[in-house]
Amino acid sequence: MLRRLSGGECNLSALAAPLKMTFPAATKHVRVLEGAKLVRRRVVGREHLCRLDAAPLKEAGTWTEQFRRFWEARFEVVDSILEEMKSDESTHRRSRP
Amino acid sequence: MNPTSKSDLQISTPTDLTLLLTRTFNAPRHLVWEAMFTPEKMRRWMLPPPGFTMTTCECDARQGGLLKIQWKSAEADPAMTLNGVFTEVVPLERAVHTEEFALPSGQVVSTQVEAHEFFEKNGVTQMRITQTFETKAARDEGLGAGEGMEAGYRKLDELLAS
Repeated sequence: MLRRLSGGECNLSALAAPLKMTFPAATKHVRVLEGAKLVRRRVVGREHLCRLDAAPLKEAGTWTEQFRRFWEARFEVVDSILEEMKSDESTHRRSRP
Repeated sequence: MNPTSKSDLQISTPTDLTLLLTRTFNAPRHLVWEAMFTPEKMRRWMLPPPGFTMTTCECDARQGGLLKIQWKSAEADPAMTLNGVFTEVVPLERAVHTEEFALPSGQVVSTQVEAHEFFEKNGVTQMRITQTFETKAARDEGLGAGEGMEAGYRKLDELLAS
């Protein structure tokens, strides 16, 4: 639903249809998203127009930044493994006759 | 890089289907190669996504060699299996392997090709990892690895389902 909304403001029925949801089920979903302050809704005539309010998601950190942190954490472990391997190698070199 | 120096990790998207990671390590190439492809070392650096623990790690970085990694979660063991084959290996320089992530049911949820290249200069090694996905959507989901956007969506889905 959020993915669809990332394309722009969308009417609730249009939002529900591809997800094979009934109108009441879609309304329930949107209420939860509204509660989480991720979606804003306005009523124009009989239409319920929903739009993404992405600010809270941005606060949580962008996806690329999290991907970066995930890999950097791994590479920092590789750094420490490499330090151990280097000191092992020099120990072996010194102990060689 | 030693722990006190700043990491030079760079992440880019050269094409719609690829992700490129480059990172410099303060060590000669043969050690970086060994750290990346030896199961005993991989078990240490291949930090699992939250809630997962690695149970199996097999890696034979030779032409035609196999890669197999399994993780368990509180709900399932294995919860996820990664199977791969090394399709191209030039020792210490370049290794390309396939990667298939499968659920316990055997259903494959993600397929990609990962190429590692190593360049050494004055005892410092630059590693480039190019991940190639089948679709742009899969690539974008790949960017969400770890606890990214996709995990966020999944949590929302759970919240909504309850």
